[in-house]
Amino acid sequence: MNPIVSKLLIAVVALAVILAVLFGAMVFTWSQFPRAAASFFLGVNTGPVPLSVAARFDQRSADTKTRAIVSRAQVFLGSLDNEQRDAASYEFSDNAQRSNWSNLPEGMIPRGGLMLGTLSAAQRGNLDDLLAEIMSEKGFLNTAYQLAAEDTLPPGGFAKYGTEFYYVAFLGEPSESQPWMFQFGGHHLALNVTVYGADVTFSPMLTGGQPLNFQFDGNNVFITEEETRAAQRLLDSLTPEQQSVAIRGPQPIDLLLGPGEFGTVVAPEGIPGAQLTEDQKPLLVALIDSRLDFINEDDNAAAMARVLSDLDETYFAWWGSPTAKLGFAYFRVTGPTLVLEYAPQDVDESPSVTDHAHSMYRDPTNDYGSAWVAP
Amino acid sequence: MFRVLLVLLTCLACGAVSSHPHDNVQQQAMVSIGFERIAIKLLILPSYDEGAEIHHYIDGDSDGVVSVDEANGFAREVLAGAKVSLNGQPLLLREPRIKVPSAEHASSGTGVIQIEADALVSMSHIEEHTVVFEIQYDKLSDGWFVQPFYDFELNRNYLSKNFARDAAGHRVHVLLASPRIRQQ
Repeated sequence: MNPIVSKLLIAVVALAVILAVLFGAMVFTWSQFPRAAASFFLGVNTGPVPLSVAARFDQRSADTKTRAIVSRAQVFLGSLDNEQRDAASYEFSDNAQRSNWSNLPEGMIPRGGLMLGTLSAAQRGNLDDLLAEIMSEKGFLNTAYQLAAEDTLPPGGFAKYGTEFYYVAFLGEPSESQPWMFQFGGHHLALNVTVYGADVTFSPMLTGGQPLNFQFDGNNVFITEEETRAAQRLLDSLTPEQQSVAIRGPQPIDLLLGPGEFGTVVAPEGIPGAQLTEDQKPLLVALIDSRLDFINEDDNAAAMARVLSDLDETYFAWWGSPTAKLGFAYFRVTGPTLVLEYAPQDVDESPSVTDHAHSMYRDPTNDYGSAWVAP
Repeated sequence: MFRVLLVLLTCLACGAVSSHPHDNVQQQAMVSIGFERIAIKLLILPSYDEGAEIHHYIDGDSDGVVSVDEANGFAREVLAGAKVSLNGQPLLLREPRIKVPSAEHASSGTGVIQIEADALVSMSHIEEHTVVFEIQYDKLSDGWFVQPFYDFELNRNYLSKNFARDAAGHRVHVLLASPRIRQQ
């Protein structure tokens, strides 16, 4: 064989071996340390929540709703085999899993927990029962909408789309008297529900969706229709002087309180409840309720009671044209125990409908139950 | 070299990332104000049609991978356009930290460049304070959205907190007034 060809052949083989070894190393790294690998390669991951969690907690009493949630959670966990149960279970102090949610899809953000695609029909039924207990009827339907919307997306490659790539996880054991946490979500959906006795917080909660407009059971659905209509109604009710205070910019802005944001209070801006008339205040309440109404009736009532007591200090702000098509503007509601954001995406291409939005809810005083679980 | 190959292999393995592509360069500055620290987080989200160019700009030696030195150089360049002051006194932004997505990710319109830095301060709990933050870095896009945040203790301490943005949105002026302790 020609010596040059021979050397070239050796070089090609050597390069192939090096590439194979490196590829194997990369696959190993990604499989063993997915979050670290995603952070290294993509720069998109979020670190553990910097939340201090006490080692021991006082016993608390449950109410009827918590008892029902715990019962449903135990039925679901009881229907899992040991391997599935291990996959779904984390220590309550696991702040890495606590923060492991995102608007981005699986693959880009490797999730933890038990993958929906691995559940049997019976197990999936038990999970739906648990979700239906935790959420309101509307909240459960919203979750169904988001899952159905996800399944309209092409499967993708590295970024994985489809409801089989949604995950369920528990931090701590479901209990009527000790704190624990339930997580469910995937691309565009994150339910983070911390339960401690009779008290339940849903902060942080990511909803929204992509696509937002699609067919569900033969009907046309616009997932964020109620909240965007509620915001538009409030804006339309304002006088020009009030609008000049509420409208903060001509263009929609991006989400502020997405994954990884924890521990600060967004500076309120816009028009405060104190400057609304008695006719306008119910419109602000309706806007807030359009999102908090995803929470079951019992825990929504508790959250709304806190919000209503602070309504005068609750601000409504709008970025975008006041006459934009429905859902094309960013809006935010900021109160002492509440931040709601609606951040439409890709709206500068002048599509006929907005088809992609991130909706965040946080209680800055009790994100992940921080008010209850700190030492 | 090892990292170059890993990134190359990642790109080959990934295929196109299609979620959330952004078609314009978005820039946010998040300013978190506390009694002892003012933290700045700058988020730059390249658009899918400019992501490769922006990554190439940061990648000074054009080897396809942004080294630590190249990333830090870009962080310093951006932060040179940022100013923060407390009660009229300029503050030094220290210890810049930066994350740069891969070229592939930046080109997808979903990769965020994140720059963080902070200034140590010692704010009195009983005085009023003004904090001004301004950013004029416009090499990638001329638009910035600046959002103030308050830490919990500071938020509780001041009964009146007001801020104003300039028309271009590059500058915020925060007034922390009516400290709770003075009301007691």
